[in-house]
Amino acid sequence: MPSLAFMPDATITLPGAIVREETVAVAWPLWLASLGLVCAAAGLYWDVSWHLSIGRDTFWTPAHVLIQLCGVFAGVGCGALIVTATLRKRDDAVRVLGLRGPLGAFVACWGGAAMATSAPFDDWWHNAYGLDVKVLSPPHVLLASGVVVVGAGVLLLIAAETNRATGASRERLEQHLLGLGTLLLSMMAVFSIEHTGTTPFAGARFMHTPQFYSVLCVAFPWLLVALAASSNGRSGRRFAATSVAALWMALWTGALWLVPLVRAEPKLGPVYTPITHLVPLGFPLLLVAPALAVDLLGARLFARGFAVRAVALGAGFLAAALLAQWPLGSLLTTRAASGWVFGASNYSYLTRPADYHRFHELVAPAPGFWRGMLLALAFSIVGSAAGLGLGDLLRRVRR
Amino acid sequence: MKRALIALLCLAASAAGAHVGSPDVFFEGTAGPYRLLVAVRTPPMIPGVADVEVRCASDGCASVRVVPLRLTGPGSQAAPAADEASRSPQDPQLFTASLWLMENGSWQVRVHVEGASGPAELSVPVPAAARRTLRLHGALAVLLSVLLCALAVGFVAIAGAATREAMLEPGAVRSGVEHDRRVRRGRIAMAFAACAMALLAALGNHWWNVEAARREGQVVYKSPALGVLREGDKLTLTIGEPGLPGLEDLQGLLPDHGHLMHLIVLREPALDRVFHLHPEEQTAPTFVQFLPPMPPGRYRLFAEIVRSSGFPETMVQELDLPEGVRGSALGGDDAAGTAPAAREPERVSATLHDGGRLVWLRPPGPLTARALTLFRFRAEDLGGAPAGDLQLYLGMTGHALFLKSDLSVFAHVHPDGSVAMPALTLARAGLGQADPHAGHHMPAGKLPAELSFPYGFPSPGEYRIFVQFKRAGVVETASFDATVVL
Repeated sequence: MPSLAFMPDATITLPGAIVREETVAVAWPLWLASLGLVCAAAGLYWDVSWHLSIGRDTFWTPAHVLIQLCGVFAGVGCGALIVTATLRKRDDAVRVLGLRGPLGAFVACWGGAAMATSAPFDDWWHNAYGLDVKVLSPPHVLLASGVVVVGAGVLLLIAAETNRATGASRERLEQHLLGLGTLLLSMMAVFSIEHTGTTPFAGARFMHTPQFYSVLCVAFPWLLVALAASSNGRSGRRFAATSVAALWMALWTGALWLVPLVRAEPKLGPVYTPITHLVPLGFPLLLVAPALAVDLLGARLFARGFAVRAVALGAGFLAAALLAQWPLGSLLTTRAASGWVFGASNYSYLTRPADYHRFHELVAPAPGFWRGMLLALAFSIVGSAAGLGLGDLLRRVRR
Repeated sequence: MKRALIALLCLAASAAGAHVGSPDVFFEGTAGPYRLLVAVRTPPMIPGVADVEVRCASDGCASVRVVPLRLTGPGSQAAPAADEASRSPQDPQLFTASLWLMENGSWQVRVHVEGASGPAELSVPVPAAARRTLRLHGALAVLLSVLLCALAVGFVAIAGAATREAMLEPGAVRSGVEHDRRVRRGRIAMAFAACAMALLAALGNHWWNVEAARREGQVVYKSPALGVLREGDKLTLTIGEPGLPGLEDLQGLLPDHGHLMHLIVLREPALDRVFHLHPEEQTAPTFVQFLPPMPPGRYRLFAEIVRSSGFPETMVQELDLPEGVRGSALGGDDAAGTAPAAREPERVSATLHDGGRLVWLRPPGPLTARALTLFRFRAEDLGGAPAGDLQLYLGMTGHALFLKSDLSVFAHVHPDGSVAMPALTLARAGLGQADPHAGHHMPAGKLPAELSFPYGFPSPGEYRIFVQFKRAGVVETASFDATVVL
């Protein structure tokens, strides 16, 4: 079966297919799981902002509860689908370890189980190595993987529904899928924020270094390419990745401007920078540029082989990211970016005044720059290949 | 001249701050009109949560709030929101709270009291240092292994299902050549998924090991090495790097009772000889001490210093004296004492040089580990009356050493508590309470005959307590034994 990614208005005819009127009803579980992703995206943003502003952390902070609700909602919704399909012995489902249900439900439940597994692991980690001082630790990565896999599972659920639907409901489901893609993009931005986030993180300083682009190319191409590959060409849509990236940028820009209106004070010491409000997560990455490159290249190359498309999309993503982020790094490290528009002075309570100047010192390219960029290119190509595979699955999944 | 190079390695890497094996901080002081007893139980890992107990020994305390700040530097200027301590329903004079200590180093806990006599505040210096990491074992290790295996099995099964049948239209027939091909593809996908899981597990395990080693190396406190060189009765001590890597504010030393270093020397294993010496700094970081007459034996050295940030450190080393040292007479603030070789846990009085006594006013009942206790002693003259000739020794009414019999615990405590006096001076300065005598407990007029030391034994076991104080120009050393239960 050739890849259908980026293929306009593809139709599916599989040998031996018997289309039945009755399919697994996913309406309320789908909405519940989608609500879980909304909770996770909001909770992750809030949690990092909480750490930057208030600091004190317990299992029961509102942000943590929101994140955990993702696993709960996905587990309940998708678990119901699996239980129903298994008890009724439905033959319109996939079979996993003797159970039946939509593929997306199994994937989402796996993600929820990973999230649940991370909880005792994280608790032990705090006792063993100290309370959280950074985003990426082994238990956090397990949690993040769980959240992303829940998201991927819900995308698969919607994709299967979309692929079976026709007319207006199909269009609505496609929009639903892109909306959830935006939430996933937001989550990936949070997971990579220690390396790519602007003030109060130091990502802007490194926008002229290959390390920044390597992290960017690990975090984003797979998702943008998958969304473009699964959605472009359907219902006249041509800019799925671009619209998702633009919507995400709008959301984060809005958060940058509105979150500081919420009063907050540190509950942990040492307080190096006194603050009176929640600290937002910084000016968003200009992902709309590489997303546009993905959309345009995907449309132009849809008839080419998998490897050619992966290389072209990976290179296009990195080139467009460079063109956009390089000048943004120059801008965000100037004093002119210190106002509320770019928020380059939104320091966390943990930022030492003696370190303020570092936020305005761009790290210049060093020897080994091109070798580093080659590594970033490799990450981008591999990520694009993964995105093509996921996009292909999203476009073809029926169950 | 006999030369003896003893060692360059420290013995007690588990030490934290001023003491060895005794990380909790105990303090007795006044916040305005309120007399408070404070215990800060520091967490074993930093960042971590410290437990704070505040006992109001005066009447009228209505509420207590606590807040942690750095002792010096920029982090000491702005305070986070204070925590309201909970009042114990059983004991209305006791307030408890939990505080987050986010960095290794020199901290202070500010205690705000509201009550009938108005608001008041005091500050307790707290050295925070991570003491250990953990290894995963036991039931949790089994649970996590099972859960991770289940996740891996689930991943492999889902990968197979995704490849085998996810693309089929609902109701598609599951038989025929095409079906067999899909089943084969599913098996291949499952094999790849299994390999991917194994690779992820290996990478995750490697990352875990790297993180654990990094935390162990960069965060866990290890007391500085102490190099010891003996040439006859001349002892040369060289301090190694600070015990907290990467903290440049630990450079330099502060004088404690007028001395940059206090050296406590104890003969092992009976703890029947104790010397309280004060080596002089030659060229930093080297100190020299001329030993007093010492009988043969193996000695344990505890060298105490306070860094400029107020962070106290105790270095531990051994000194072998097979033939003893003739040495020179004790001078300055140096002192020596003897104690019975055999343990006498029932004895509550010790004879002083003139036949007087030091009586331990021991409360009834067993001594329990981790309980904040006031160790009270009364000096009596020959006739049994309270002694009226006590003098300050090293600026304090008394000094107490708490030692576990295996020397895994060493704590040097003053009437103010277990805090280092230079750190207390810094803490008081932060509250604008600095005065020429800050750091020295100097009651006006005649000194009372009673000494008290707030302390809590860190663990059960056999302990020896040395009390040093000055009477009529003579430094007295009295010893007591204690059995501590859980």
